[in-house]
Amino acid sequence: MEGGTNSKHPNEISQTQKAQPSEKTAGTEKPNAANGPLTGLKVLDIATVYAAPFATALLGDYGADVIKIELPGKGDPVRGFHPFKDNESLAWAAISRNKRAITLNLKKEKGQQLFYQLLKNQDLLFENFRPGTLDQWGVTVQKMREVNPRLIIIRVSGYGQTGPYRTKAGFGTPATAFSGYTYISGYPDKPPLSPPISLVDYVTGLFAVIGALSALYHRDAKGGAGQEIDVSLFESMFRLLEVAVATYDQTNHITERLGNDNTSAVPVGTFQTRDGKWMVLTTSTDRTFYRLADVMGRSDMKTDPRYATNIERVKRRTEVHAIVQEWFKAHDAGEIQEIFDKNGIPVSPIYNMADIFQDPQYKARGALVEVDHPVLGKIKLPNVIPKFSQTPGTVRKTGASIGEHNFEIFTELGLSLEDINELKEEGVI
Amino acid sequence: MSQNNKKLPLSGIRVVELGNLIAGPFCTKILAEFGAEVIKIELPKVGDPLRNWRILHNGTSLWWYVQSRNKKCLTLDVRTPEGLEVIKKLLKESDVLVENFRPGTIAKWGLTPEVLEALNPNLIVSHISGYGQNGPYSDRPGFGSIGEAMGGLRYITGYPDRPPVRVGISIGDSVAALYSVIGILLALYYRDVKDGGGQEIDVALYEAVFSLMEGMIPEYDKKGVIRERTGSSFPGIVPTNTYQTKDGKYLVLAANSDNIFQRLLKVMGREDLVGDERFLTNENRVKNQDFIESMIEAWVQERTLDECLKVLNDHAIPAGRIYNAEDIIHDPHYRARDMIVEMENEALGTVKVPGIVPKLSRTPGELKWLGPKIGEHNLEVLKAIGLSEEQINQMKERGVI
Repeated sequence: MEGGTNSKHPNEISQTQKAQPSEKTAGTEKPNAANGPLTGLKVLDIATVYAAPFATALLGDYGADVIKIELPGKGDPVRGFHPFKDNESLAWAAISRNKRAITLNLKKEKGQQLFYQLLKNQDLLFENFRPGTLDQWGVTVQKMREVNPRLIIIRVSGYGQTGPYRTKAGFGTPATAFSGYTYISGYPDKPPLSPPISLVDYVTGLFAVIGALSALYHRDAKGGAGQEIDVSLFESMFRLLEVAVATYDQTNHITERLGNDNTSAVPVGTFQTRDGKWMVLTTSTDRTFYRLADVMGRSDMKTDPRYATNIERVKRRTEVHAIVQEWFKAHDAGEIQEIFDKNGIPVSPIYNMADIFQDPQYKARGALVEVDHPVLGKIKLPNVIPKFSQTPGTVRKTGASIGEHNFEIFTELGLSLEDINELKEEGVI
Repeated sequence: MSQNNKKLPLSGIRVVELGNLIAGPFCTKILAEFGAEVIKIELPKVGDPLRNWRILHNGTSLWWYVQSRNKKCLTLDVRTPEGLEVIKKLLKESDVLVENFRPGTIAKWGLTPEVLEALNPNLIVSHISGYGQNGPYSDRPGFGSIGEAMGGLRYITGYPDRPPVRVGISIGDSVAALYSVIGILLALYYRDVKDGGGQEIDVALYEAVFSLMEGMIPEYDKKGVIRERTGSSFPGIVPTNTYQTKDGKYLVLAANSDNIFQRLLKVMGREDLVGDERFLTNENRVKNQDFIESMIEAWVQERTLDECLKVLNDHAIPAGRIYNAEDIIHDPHYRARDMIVEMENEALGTVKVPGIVPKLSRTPGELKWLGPKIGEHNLEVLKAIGLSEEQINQMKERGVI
């Protein structure tokens, strides 16, 4: 993808991204209007915490107009997530980018009326209440369909809309353990390791977007109807564990946790360098291994039947890894990176955030984008991925304050200032 | 396409896969599940290295059968002039090309952006690579583990007193694959609903991983905080951890929202602490993490896993056992949700594989077949783009297919 927006100057990227939308909409009431393949698409987000909100943020990156609905007074729990700066949750600023925020109490009748009024013009609705909760309040799929038959409803939950566990509290960590993922992570001599980030929420968010876009394509490109999409946390993680399922089924082998030795190919792993740094090395194919053998001065391993094929190397995992570790211990990280790059062997230092902020590849790709924040000044966020040659996405705004767009959106629905103030007093918004 | 009457959202879309191992093939598999016709191209005789990975059954890996389900397999040496002509013919009649070679590789073979654009202006090309199509590292070979290390995930995975640890699966490849699917769906929508034409999508493994690190970036940017490895506990969100039970099993517990934590206090018989300022908000719980952790540890240690789960589930406190493959295959919820599907296969007999995610009410995906033999669809695919049986046989003799 030479050219296009993939400029080699990161500053240029963030500037074009900010400049483009404002040029197009100069003089209109929305100063940071979107561009991108989903421009004009309307998305309502009545979900909380991570999975569904991450999905709607992705759609917003690509131009969708996302309206986030929060409970008056309380708001999304992410607003209380660490860390804070100047009383602003940094997690909120990140996860709610590009969204407009309004407050609305769906448990109140007036709140529901406004909700249905708003729903009329929406394309997608994302919700992640525990299955049955919306029905309990009287907000059923049937009623939503009556108001808007073309609506695509994405329902995110811990365990899905059906099955015996559907009403269990569905939080990420237990759902991850239920998916089989936790069991195979960590060291054999320690408890299974939960992932250090809300991995399951992110992966579920990605599957939710895939479902939403598939349904949207079916509706708009093929004349199909609206439909519901049932996405669960545990199934999204489980979907990535397909090997373990087929393997257990055919061989009764239960995949166990093996620390860094849980790879399909050898040598693959984490090795320490002479200057004390940790690096990961991967040789997924025999050809890559042969290049490594040459670099280590062990060309004999290329023809030795004990090492020449991955199948044999896997049987001698410990021995092969010891040979590689010994070589790493005799070289510095910078030196290793240079030699391996020259010879086409995949290796990388293990980065922390400080490394990331300084790295030239991140810079050249514009992987970090700086966005204005009303309280914090400027704030860096991950830029939009993937990158498109014709219709790139944009980060236009960080997480809005609670009810920031109440006035704007409710007046769009035809409410007067008086109505809005009244609703506020009644706790509906 | 197959002769069934199930509606599939991507039926009629033809995808060519020039890739191997995980990122590219996992992306096209999801497209295939939702109805796309996926034609996978492999090097004659050699095939995708994944065919020999991990646990084998009669010489083919079990992974292969899942990773390649619903795809058609074509052998073709694109590096030969004849092979290049064939793939050009194929791409002329395709909607999407997915490739995961090192940047510049397919261009070297003759499939430059200009050639592809001239060939088929409506073609959507998704490039998946370790470092992306530009930037100083773009020539480096990039694999999943490298993306995980560079994207920031490895550094924070594991224990403070041990080296960073790999997570149990190829998460970097999988997440990049999901982003590629999203990119392709966005581009299809733009092309077919908004008459936008084809375009290129650039997915980098390290960026896919990096996109999951959201909170960490502003944390470092604004507070200079570098997040470190903390085992299974969740820094800043308390309590979330793994605890050992009386019968030596492990319980995961995530009582980290304000109301749920109050319920947990009651369940643990600590009514005296209900309403205590120190535990009312996450912010305060973070300050009292050690106290909270040891209180939960002590409570869990006195009970079996089943006892813990019963009382926690009864009070709607998120908790669970840590499932392995055996637990999963026997679990009633997995069964009820069709997440374990039994399929027939020539080589394996019947075999269980994971079902389809996510579930669409009107246009659910479909599992048609498991990973094919190498070159299984050579005849079918090449005939469909106008090659004669004679030409096909000649190409076979010359090792082009």
